[in-house]
Amino acid sequence: MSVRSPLTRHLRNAMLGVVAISGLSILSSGVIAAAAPTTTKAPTSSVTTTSNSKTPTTTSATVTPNLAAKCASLGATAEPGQPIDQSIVAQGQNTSEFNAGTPYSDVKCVNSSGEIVGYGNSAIFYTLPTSNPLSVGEELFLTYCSACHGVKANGVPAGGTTGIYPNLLGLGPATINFWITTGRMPAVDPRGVQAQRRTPRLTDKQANEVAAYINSLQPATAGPYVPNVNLRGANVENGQNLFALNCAACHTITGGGDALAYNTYAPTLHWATPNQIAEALRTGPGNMPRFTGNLTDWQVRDIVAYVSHSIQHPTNIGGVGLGGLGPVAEGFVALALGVGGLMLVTFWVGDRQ
Amino acid sequence: MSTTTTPRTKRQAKEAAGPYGNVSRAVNELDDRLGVAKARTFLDKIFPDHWSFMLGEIALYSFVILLLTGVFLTLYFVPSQSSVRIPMDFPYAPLRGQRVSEAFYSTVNMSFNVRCGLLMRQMHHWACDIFVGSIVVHMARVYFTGAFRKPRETNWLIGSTLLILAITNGFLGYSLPDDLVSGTGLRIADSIMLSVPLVGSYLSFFVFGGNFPGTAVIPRFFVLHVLLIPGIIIGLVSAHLFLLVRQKHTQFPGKGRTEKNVVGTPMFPVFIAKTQGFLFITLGVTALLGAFAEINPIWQFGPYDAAKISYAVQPDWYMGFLDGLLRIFPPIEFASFGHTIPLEVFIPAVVFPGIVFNIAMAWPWIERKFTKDNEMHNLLDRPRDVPHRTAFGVAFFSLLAILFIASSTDVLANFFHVSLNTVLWAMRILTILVPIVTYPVTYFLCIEMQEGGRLIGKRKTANIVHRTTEGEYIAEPAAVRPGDGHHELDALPVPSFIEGIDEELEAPHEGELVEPGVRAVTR
Ligand code: HEC
Ligand code: HEC
Repeated sequence: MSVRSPLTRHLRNAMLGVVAISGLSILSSGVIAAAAPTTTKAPTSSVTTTSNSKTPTTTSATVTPNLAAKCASLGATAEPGQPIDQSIVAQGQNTSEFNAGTPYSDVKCVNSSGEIVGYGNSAIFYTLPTSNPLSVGEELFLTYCSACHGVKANGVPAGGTTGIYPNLLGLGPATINFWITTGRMPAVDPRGVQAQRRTPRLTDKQANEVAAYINSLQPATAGPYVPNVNLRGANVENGQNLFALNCAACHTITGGGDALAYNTYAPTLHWATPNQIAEALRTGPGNMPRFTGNLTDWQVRDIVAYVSHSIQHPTNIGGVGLGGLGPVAEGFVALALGVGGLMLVTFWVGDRQ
Repeated sequence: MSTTTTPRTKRQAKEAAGPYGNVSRAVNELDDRLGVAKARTFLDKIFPDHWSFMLGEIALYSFVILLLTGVFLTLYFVPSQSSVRIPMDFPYAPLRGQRVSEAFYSTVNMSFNVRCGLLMRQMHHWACDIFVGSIVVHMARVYFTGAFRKPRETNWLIGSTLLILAITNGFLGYSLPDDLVSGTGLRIADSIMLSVPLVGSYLSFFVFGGNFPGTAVIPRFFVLHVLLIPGIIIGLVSAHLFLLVRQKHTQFPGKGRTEKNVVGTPMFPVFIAKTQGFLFITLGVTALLGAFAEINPIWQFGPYDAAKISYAVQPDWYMGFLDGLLRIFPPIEFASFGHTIPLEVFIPAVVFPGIVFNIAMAWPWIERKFTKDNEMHNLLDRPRDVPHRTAFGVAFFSLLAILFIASSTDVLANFFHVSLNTVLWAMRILTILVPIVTYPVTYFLCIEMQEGGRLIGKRKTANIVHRTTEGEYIAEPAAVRPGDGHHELDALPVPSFIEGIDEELEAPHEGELVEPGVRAVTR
């Protein structure tokens, strides 16, 4: 059978192809299976810290004279923050809540009535805001907030109001302070998907008064007191590292912010004050995760320093920064100014017929 | 230059040496040994003057700039992933003391501490963006005017290969600094390799020398980026130019231009002066961009670490269409027989670019299938005269453009305050819709423009408008003016091209000057 018809030749070629492909696939699937266990796994959690900064300890708490003076200015006495209950630590819970925005800090300030009015360490000091008298805060709350959040601040407004209003009880002064000082509250568009940063309607003092009032209704359980970041001695290098690890995934590495799903967005970080950045981290506004025990106050301070120094004042030694938009803006410039400009030159020197 | 009588006086000697004196003597000496007189053909090469013929030169010159700046960069760049600690006196505080790869350190060090280093880096990057951009524009010109037709298919093929090589080398170079953003790009490239059925994991292991990211990829990419691919590009560019000289330029039809001649300015002295100037202008534009517009400020991104990721990371613009399709492709995958083939990666990132570049490369042959046109073509088409080709090209480009836009869904959503999901769906629909719409629209526009000539010379009937006492307006046709009898004027036949002169009759003689400085030669 020396003369083959074209049909048989095609058939033979096709069969050869099938054999070759199946052989290859058997071979490679074997090797893939063999290689599979060695495939790298990316770290499962992005919210991790690097080791080269002060890691939380559950032991020694140090009351420095500085911190003692802080307590004194609040009219309270300094006490070492109590270390975390070792039995809880043994269960693998709350291992790192120490010095992370809780009274389990280097120092806690206790006033005459046994109330904790402040706590913290050399990096961040959290104070309980006050309203003197409390009725000032109440007045402000009733004027600006109660229409939506209800007179009891429990998120149940007067009848006939539509919308979903969060319960403010127990959220903690830092949360209230953040939402008011960033101008998000009182809300302009309560049905919006996400409250926007605006020029604040209340002053910082008033914000603290409202926070004090809400806190008086039910003491903070979930959130910290109002932080005050001490940027002296902060380590921007560590901040850069932690920022890339924890924040860039939403806010972008240049801090420009970007759209998240369904109309929500991670805002630009160019306007937040150091204390607001710490508040955002410690309270997790809206869709932002709340960073608590996994970042110590020193690490938070480093991040705050990086954001308020390097992100809010970027080093653009290369010329116009192009808005930190990266290759989108660069491609636009390259095509419009570069190629477009040179095309104009060809148009100028060339013949136009 | 052998003269029998030895010159006596200086003057005689000068006369004997001819008008170019020592120059011609030196050239003659060279010619005796190397035969350089043949270069004469090259110096006499005729360049048609149309502006669109200079687009390729932008690509050529930005490539020259890439070579020059690139050599500078290699003097300071260390292609290694071994880790170093950035010294504590480094000018940019957030990087002080960080453990980074040598590649990253040498790049930021070059940007901060080497005189002109940042300028060179930025010029290199801008030149790259311009290089690929001008190749695309140049290809579009060649495509829409039909310059790729017989006998120039080879050059089209070389050109499209050059585009692919340029894009590849751009990506390789983008990856070299080992910063957070480029590392993310590498991670995506790795995932694309892994998505290839059957051989994916080998491919990835082969490229990265083991698991991603490993420590081999930067040195490997460096060799490819500075040696292998530029070498191939130089070779192909030479072949491209050689064929250009050998086959002579195409030209638009027009006064005195025929299929058998080529009208334009000779290489020497006219064109060479012009093109030199253009080289410097390209260099100037790139230098301006490099000096005043920041590109890829990697110190703001920090070093790459597989555990870190930034949102809003895009590739350079020429990879944008790939990224765009990856973003909008619906999540489908094949998972059976113990294997997973992520079709949502494989199709947009491997199959689709394969189809795009294959269509682009095979276009001369694809078109021939339809037109059955096997003639030699030295005169160019006007795009409107070939409506199907033009329409296809516009549809093809608009598809790529939409995908390019889709690579910034997040930026669009953020900028216009629209939901990201809405933008995503809008892009999915537009990707299908836009080519379908642009094809017929372009087609009919071309037909319309072809026919436009028929309307020339028609005059509307004049009307006289009266206003009645009540304020009503009444239009009445004007009375017939003496002579024109109120006829529509007959349209003149539309000239086939702007000059409207019969080409064959006017064809100039060999070497004739068409206008000052412009010469016609036979092919
Ligand atoms: C017009 C109605 C309105 C007013 C007035 C208003 N809020 Fe709100 N508030 C809302 C809505 C709606 C939300 C949910 C917004 C979101 O999640 O983006 C909210 C959220 C908050 C949150 C965040 C709760 C959480 O769980 O994170 C705080 C804190 C808050 N409001 C405090 C206040 C304070 C304090 C005032 C008075 C200064 C105030 N609001 C006034 C409507 C209002
Ligand atoms: C999961 C995504 C996500 C991550 C991770 C994240 N954020 Fe946010 N961030 C948000 C969103 C969303 C908002 C807006 C919240 C709102 O207004 O409802 C926000 C708001 C903020 C604001 C307030 C901005 C302003 O001007 O009002 C700051 C400051 C901030 N984030 C800092 C950080 C820092 C620092 C980190 C890293 C430790 C971080 N964020 C990590 C999503 C994120």
